[in-house]
Amino acid sequence: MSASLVLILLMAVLYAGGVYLLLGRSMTRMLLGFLLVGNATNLLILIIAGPAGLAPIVADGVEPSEMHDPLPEALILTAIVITFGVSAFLLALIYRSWRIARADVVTSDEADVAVGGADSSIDDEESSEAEDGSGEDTEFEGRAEAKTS
Amino acid sequence: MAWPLSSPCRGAADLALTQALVETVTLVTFVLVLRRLPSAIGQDHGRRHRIVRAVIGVGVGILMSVVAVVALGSRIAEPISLKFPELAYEGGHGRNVVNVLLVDIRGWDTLGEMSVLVVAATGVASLVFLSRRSSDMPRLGPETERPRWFAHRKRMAQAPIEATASAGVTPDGAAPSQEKGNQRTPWLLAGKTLAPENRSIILEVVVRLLFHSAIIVSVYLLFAGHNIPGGGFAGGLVAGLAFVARYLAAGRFELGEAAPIDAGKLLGFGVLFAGGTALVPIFFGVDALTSTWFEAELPVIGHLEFVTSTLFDIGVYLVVVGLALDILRSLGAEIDRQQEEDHGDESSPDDGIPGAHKVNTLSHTPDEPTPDTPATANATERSTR
Amino acid sequence: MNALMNSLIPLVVLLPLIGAAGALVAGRRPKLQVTFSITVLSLVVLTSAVLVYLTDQTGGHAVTVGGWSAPFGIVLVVDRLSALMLLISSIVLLCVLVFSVGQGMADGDRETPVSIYHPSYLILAAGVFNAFIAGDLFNLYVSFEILLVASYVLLTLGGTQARIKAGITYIIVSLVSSMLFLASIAMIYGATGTVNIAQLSVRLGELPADIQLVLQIMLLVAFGIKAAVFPLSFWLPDSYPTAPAPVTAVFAGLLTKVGVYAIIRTETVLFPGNTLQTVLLVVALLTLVIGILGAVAQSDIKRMLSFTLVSHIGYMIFGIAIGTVAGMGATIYYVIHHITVQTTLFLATGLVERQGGTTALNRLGGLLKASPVIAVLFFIPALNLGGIPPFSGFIGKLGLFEAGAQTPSPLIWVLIGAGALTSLLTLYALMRAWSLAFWRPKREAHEEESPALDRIEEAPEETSAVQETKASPRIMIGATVAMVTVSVALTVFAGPLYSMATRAAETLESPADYISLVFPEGGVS
Repeated sequence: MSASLVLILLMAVLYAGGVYLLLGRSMTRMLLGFLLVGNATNLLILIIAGPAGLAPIVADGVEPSEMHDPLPEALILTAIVITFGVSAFLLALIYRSWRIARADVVTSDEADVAVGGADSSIDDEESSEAEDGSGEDTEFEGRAEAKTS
Repeated sequence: MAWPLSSPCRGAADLALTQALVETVTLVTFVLVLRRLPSAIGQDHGRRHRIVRAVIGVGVGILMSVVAVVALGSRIAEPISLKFPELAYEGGHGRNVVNVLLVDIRGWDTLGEMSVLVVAATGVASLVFLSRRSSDMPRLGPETERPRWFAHRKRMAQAPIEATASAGVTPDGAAPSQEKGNQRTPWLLAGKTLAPENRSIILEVVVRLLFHSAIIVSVYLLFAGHNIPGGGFAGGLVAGLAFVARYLAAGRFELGEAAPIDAGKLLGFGVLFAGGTALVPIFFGVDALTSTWFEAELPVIGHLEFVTSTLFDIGVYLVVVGLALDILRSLGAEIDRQQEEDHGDESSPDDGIPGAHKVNTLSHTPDEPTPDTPATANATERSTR
Repeated sequence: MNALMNSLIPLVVLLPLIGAAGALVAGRRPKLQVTFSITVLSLVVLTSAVLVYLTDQTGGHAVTVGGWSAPFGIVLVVDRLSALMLLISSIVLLCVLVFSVGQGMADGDRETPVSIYHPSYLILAAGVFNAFIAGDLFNLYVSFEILLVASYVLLTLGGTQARIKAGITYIIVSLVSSMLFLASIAMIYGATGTVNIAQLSVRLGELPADIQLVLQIMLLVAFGIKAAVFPLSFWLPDSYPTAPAPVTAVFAGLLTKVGVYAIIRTETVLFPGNTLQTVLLVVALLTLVIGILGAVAQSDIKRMLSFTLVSHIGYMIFGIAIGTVAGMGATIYYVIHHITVQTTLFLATGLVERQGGTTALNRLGGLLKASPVIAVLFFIPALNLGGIPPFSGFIGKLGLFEAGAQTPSPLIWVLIGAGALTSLLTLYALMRAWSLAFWRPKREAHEEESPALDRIEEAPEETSAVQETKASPRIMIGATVAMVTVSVALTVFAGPLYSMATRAAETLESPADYISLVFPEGGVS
């Protein structure tokens, strides 16, 4: 049975990008990686569904063999909804972990903190409100630095 | 994310619809959380060398493609799905095979998937509220309190709350636009609670006009799903997006005005509905989740068909709406509130359990001792006029 | 009788789900929630007990959900193995629920916020039960997702730093495993065009051997992560111990066993023939030895128990790898024993934590005098897990070794030796914990910091932090006593139970039995 080369390439790229991000240590990257891998897997299910066909809606004069395989579609629908639920939970987890640690590094060592600090100071320069404490992002960053150092 | 582009030509209309909606909601959720986090959050702290990671990633990609091609190439039998169109039409009384698969033939999977959504929503609430599952939606209190909130918001003018709505508004515009803000007819009730520079009258008008149509579309998708693309998921997501729009246009109090229901209850009723549809047939001596089919000739309306699996789909709809509300309530409204609390009371460390005990006091804001500086007092005065 | 089974089988999943819905709707009435949960789980225990009786009579039954005949619809299959797993897991879930209710009532719901805890717990239960009866590979994936997402919520309950950190590791690992499982399902559907397990059993056998091998390895890795088999077990000791005591107890007892159950099904129904025997034996050996060496090096009871948990999964993999009826029967008995005893030990540790304020061994002491009841409640399952005759741990291990000796090979003899060593080291680790926590006078613990304990690995802060000591409410002690009683009952009724486990293994010997349950009229291709 034939499969679309474009889809296979796309899936390979999504998997590669997703795994690359998953191996990172930042939680947001992991979440993005998870989303990519999830979509790659859905694409995989779509690929194994075989060749493209008509929409699987029963109508006169449409043979089942002309339709696109409906079962993988149903499986993907279930899978994307589950992925959605999990990513919503992960986002809440990211928020919570940020509120606790003010940083989303899973395990932070000194080098990490230094890097974070350096970059946040760049942010400070970019947003002029950093001094009076009304720019939130930078402000919390400052707090995170104070805490970790 | 990549895939709605390719789907129409593959005849997967339901999939395209639902995927597009799901990705939209995912994106909204992402933005809701990320707007609160520092910009450095996505920084790469990986200790493993980038090249090593890239090699592993590419390796996985290639491996999966090879195995997929080989597995597909060795297909040994006709897929069972060739029978589905016939089964769906004859047994499930629906033309949309994918929908019949979801709510009837493979309804047990969908029931499980709903439990995943319910428990994920519970988890989101658990992590944001920390010690309670159910809490009131933030609602507008009595008339008198609105100026207070307005003043409070004004004081922290820089806060990028409703960032989406306020894109392009400069802090300098705050003072002049404020007076105007109070003379506006409220298109959305809670719009008043926003600092004027965060309001967008166009957005409020559009949302006001679109909201009810969106809800009707969602209900239409729900009931039409049995025969054409749509169904409980798609419908629920459309309704969820309608609430997202209300929240984005007019802030967290609008959410309570739009849906004064406890999201937890909605989730619970959704599962009860779907679980009940699965349970009841057992008492009639048939297998769980067996669907029945009613047909009637009604005056005026004409020929009417009703399949009990539609009830199951209503459960799905309720769960999805409940999830959307829960996400907005926790990752939207409660995060806003925690942020304001952080700003309002800088000295208090917020690492503990903020909001856990305060969440119900939202509608009683006037009772809360808000530290009023002279500036905000002025603002209050002006705005009440 | 089939009509009765038809109605009972879906109930084990529907009851907890509807209970969870009820608990959500009754979000503000904790008492009502507690009533819902306990009623629902008690009903499931009853249902499972009836199912065990009925399946032992008839050999099993398959329900076609929604009346859609296999392979088109989803089937729920209960054979002897499923029924036994349902019964033991429902009993464990009920006891732990009662324990946590006791804890919640005593602590004012701070640890286990009732309005989140009950719905999540019941949905977890539904996921576990569904995994045991799923006759459809994709439905098995959905069950895993249900129980995993529920476990994420329960693990991060309260959102403290340690729990969030542990939760992140656990979630990422689980996500990888889920994605691998889903990808395997996709490949399997691509190759065979079906997801019905019984039909797969036939169709997978017709595939070329190398593709079979790839698919089998993908599934085994996915399930191996869930079952915490070495080298896929690194995440477990870092994540489980931080959760609230009852949550850790039910995770430790049940969740890994769901993975083991899935491995049993993979090796007996989907890919019969035991083609990977050597690999599984090596994995079992490493799991046993490395796990127990980790356990001996721990200074915290919860972490030590988590390492013994990983280690003892090795016994089950060993039994599966032997592949004979005797080996599989011993494995099934061992799984039941281990679910019960490991949960009991974690519950007893929860009591220790309340009583002593910590689970760090260098701070505990004198608990025997303070609460002899807890000392006994910890001692009995400790002996049991350590494999002291006549307890069920001994019977299970003996059964495994006998089964191994019947199909001798050098590797199997090495494994029998490693198994015996692991048993001894388990006993050593547990007895050391017991004597330090209970036997040693209280003041010694404070005066001299034992040098041996100082050297070994630092326990994570959260678990070793001394909290205020609290007396344990009767309900918590009662629930633990109930679990100890169940574990002793496994010994007392070892005869009938072991023979039923063997009968369950006989139905697993060839996939034909499973297939005939799903397709009673035959003709599957």
